[in-house]
Amino acid sequence: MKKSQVIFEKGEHQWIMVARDPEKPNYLIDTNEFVIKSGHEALLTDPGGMEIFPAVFSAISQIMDPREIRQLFASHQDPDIISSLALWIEFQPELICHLSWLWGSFIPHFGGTDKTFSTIPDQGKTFRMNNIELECVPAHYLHSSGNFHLYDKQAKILFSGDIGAALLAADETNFVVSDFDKHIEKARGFHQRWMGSNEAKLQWCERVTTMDIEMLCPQHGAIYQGQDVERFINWFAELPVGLLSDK
Amino acid sequence: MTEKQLDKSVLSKTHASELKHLGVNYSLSLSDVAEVHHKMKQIVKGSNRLYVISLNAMFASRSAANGATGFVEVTALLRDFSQRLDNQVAAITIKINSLIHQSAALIKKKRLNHLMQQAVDQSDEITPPEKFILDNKKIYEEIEKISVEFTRQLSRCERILQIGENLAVLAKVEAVASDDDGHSLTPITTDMTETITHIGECLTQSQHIFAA
Repeated sequence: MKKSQVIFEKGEHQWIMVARDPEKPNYLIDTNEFVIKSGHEALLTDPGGMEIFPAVFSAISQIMDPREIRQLFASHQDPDIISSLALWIEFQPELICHLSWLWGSFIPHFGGTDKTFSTIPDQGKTFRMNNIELECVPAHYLHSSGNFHLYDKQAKILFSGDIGAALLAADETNFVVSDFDKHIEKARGFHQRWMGSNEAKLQWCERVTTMDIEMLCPQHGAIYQGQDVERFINWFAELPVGLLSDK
Repeated sequence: MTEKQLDKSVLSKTHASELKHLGVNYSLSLSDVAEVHHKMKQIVKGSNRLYVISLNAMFASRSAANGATGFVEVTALLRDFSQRLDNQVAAITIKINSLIHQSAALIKKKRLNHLMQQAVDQSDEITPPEKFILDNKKIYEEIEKISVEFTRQLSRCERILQIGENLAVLAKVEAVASDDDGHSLTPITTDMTETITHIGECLTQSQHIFAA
């Protein structure tokens, strides 16, 4: 089963990370899910694929009442991001899913009705959840053509989807990056192959540099915290992307 | 039609019919299981609270008339009770965790059943594979097994709780006996009774969900 851990807490405002499933078959990429809670209302970021729904649901149930999850955020359209949508809706029919307008008629192939989706325009949007405000930050072409990240200004946390992702070995169970130089080598190939546009990359780096970020939380791998956030942004800005290695 | 083809056709029709009837007697939703899981957490909280109240009661009794010996004994029994309840709830929690996981897996199966059923309804040529039906049956059987064990554990918990209810009544009697003008232990016993009542309510609600 996946593990769940509170990574931020201030009053009734929480971020919970759901990650690392030792029982997950190797042919599935490992994913991180994050629950943002404000009082008794919660949002789940990139809820994951259909295959891992039981593991994600069980892990969340250990730490909170899953019925408090009323909203989903899909950074983009990939199956490891949102193919479990129909199952979440089966559990919570009134669920709202925030996603790029670009995928507004594609993701419903995974499930949902016309009332399920709240689309995000290209320039992004801000919405409230109970006592907190969440900002959908554009990250188009990184890697998807309609791609968003989610920023929580009060917690100073940026959920960064595939940016910052690292493919870790099964025995690397740390939730937070402890050795940046070692860790970043596991992120290099992923970013070079998956991120398609150097221009989009620089735009993103410029945008997030102006934001106050204490934790950068990717959908795969470990969290960058404190000074590692800046180190990551600098590393990414200098990394040539859109490359197909001959190896 | 050869005998082999006939057998296959009969088998396929059986599968299609089985698919339609899979889980028709099963009404427990994932939301119900989540509700029971939540109730179990509340019981654990209640039990912890009861332990603390009993501990405080012991300290409070030191200032009571004649040291409130009887009351002190009852509060010690209540602490034992709270620990017994904790152990029982821990056993229940293992079952409910397992049930949560299986019920979430069932939602996945149900979705696939729904899609398969749509395909079967639209064409006589499509029949659900035998493995598909068997996998489904297996998960329902597993849930049934866990549910039976879970219900048994809830009944055990109910029996333990009855002891707690009796102890709370006894604590009240002893408190009244040791109350004097300057010091009263009765308010503490009200806290005890309320906590045990709350635990009882959570338990009853969980039993109702399962009975339904």
